[in-house]
Amino acid sequence: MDEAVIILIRGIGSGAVYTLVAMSLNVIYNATGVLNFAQGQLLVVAGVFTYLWYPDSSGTGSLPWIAVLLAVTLVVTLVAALQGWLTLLPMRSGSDQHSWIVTTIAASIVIGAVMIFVIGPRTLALKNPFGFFPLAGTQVPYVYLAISVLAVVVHLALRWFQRRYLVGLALNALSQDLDAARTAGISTLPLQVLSFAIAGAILGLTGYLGGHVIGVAESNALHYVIFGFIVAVVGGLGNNTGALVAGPVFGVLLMLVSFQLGGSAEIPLALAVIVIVLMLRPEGIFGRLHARRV
Amino acid sequence: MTRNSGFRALLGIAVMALIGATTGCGGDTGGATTTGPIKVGVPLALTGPAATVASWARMGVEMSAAEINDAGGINGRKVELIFEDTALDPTKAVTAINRLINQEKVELIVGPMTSDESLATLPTTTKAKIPSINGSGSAITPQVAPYSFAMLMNAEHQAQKMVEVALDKYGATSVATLNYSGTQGKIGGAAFIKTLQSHSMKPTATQEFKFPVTDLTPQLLTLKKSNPQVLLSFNNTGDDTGRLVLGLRQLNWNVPVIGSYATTFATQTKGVAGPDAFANLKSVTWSAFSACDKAQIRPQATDFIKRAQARFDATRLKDASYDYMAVYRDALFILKAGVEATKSTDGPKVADWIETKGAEALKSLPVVHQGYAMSKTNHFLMDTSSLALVDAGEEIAPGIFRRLDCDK
Repeated sequence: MDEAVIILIRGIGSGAVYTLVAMSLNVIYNATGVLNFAQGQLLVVAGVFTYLWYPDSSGTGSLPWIAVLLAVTLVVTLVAALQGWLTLLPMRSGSDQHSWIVTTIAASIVIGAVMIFVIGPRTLALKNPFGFFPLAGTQVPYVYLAISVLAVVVHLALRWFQRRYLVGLALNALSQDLDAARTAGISTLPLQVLSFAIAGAILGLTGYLGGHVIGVAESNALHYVIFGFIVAVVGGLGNNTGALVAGPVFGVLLMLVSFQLGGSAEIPLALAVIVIVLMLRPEGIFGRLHARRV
Repeated sequence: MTRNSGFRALLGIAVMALIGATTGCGGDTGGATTTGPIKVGVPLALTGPAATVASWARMGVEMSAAEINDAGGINGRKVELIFEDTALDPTKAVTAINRLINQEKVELIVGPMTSDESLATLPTTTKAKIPSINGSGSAITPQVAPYSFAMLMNAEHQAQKMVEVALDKYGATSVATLNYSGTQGKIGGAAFIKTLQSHSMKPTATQEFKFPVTDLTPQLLTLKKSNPQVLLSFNNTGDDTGRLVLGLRQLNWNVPVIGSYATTFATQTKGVAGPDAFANLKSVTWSAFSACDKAQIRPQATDFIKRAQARFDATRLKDASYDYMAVYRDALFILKAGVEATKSTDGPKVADWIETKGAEALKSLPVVHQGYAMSKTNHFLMDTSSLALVDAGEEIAPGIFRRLDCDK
């Protein structure tokens, strides 16, 4: 029983990281149709800046934590916006281009190369800024709770933003029909760049709060983008509620399989479950079927 | 952009590209020249999760090449190193080896770094009859690798040593095991069980983890539930060792841990788990870099460390494991000795010399490590006499760990 509780809490926390990556993918996908494969790198970039600036980390920084939080979020937001602008530029000449596949992968590689140049290939160890709470005779980092709360807050904030503000409504319009939104006079490029910036902000916050439980290494970026992508697809691509549910479920599933059947079964069985879900509901658990023009 | 079925196909292509699933071409026998510089291919995981460790290997090979060139080269030919990145991916390693052999026309190879990569590339190097020394720690036999030798500790030897220590030093009557999911880790895990069986024991529980790992809680919960007196752990790097220590600490589980060679990567481990990471963790490592006191330190080891510190700046040497650097440094010297003795870079000739005369010849050659024992039946460079149990958290000199058999 104790083990089940520990796995549940830790699984939800680790899955919340995938939720946040998935929601950042969704924000961009809804506004542009692009799946940004550089999201994993941007998450690690956030961890790197946290390492460099956080006062209790092993870096050289000495700023107050709130200043570091804002600075990290701002930097990753700007990097993501710049990357988004570069990604979207070649797509202006047509509505059905797939140049983004190359540009987002290229961006991922370039960001990774810059990180290796700056910090080297090592894994950065970020200190636990929040301490631990006792659970069933063990200690669990508060980071897991913090990252879970962040996932809920981001979900609610995005929902609120997209319903209460004109810009948010316009982003919603893009997600429903990009061409129609253009025809209606919406200036799509700034809005789409904004979606990259919002995704960057989500990853900035995630990298800061979750740095201790995320392996901050260039080589881990691929893991996070793939697992975030899996959560986004299972939850229903573009659906943040789906991501909010699928991430923790996925996280708990991975840990439960490791505990019951051994670590060797973790990835194969977890992926098998995902395949079954997609066979039963190809649009994802919370995904909606879209009418297609023919 | 219209979201249709073609979109999914494109996603598939993109994910495949991200994963780097490019396959290497089959290669013909290399057409190396016998004049000019002697090209040495060095396929290492320069990027990816083992890039830090690869940077140490790179320094070791660079040191040996510089020292050999300063002394006149190999048979009068200067050594030219050709590095290739494998990203710790066996598929990319095959591509790298094909390029080294077919385009660069290398005559010798040092690398790749792991059993998975080595096993994937050996058919190509064997076909090209290139003498090589790889960084495998398992599965290298004269049948699998007729012209290649493994420089790392044999995973089975490590496992045997770890079990012996658990039973003899700790007096354990119950042992649990943990290993990473790479080939070397799996072979180490299987060797734990086999060795325990030879003592009429079986592990209370076994677990495995995929590298890289960020939370070992589920694995450790399984092991803790079985209530062992000692935990044996076959790790891959200092990062996963640090995660292991963090996990044990967070579960409030004070079980003694005996770790494989990778648990000696102390700086990495302490970076993750703090300065007291080795309080309950002891490790198997090469005896050449261990001692009970300063007077016992092997001079070849201290000389090597001094030369490394003189050659490389502090940034490159940060966190470096000198014993790992030294094994890559020795590898090129062993190939050099074989080429000079046979006056050839032909795989069968060089391999035959290493098998029959190498171990004896190395006693008078400037190698750093000890315990070399290659033979017609053993393609691991070093045997169990090269192993020692140490406290990797305590250095009696930079890069030299304190042995645990000092009290005897």
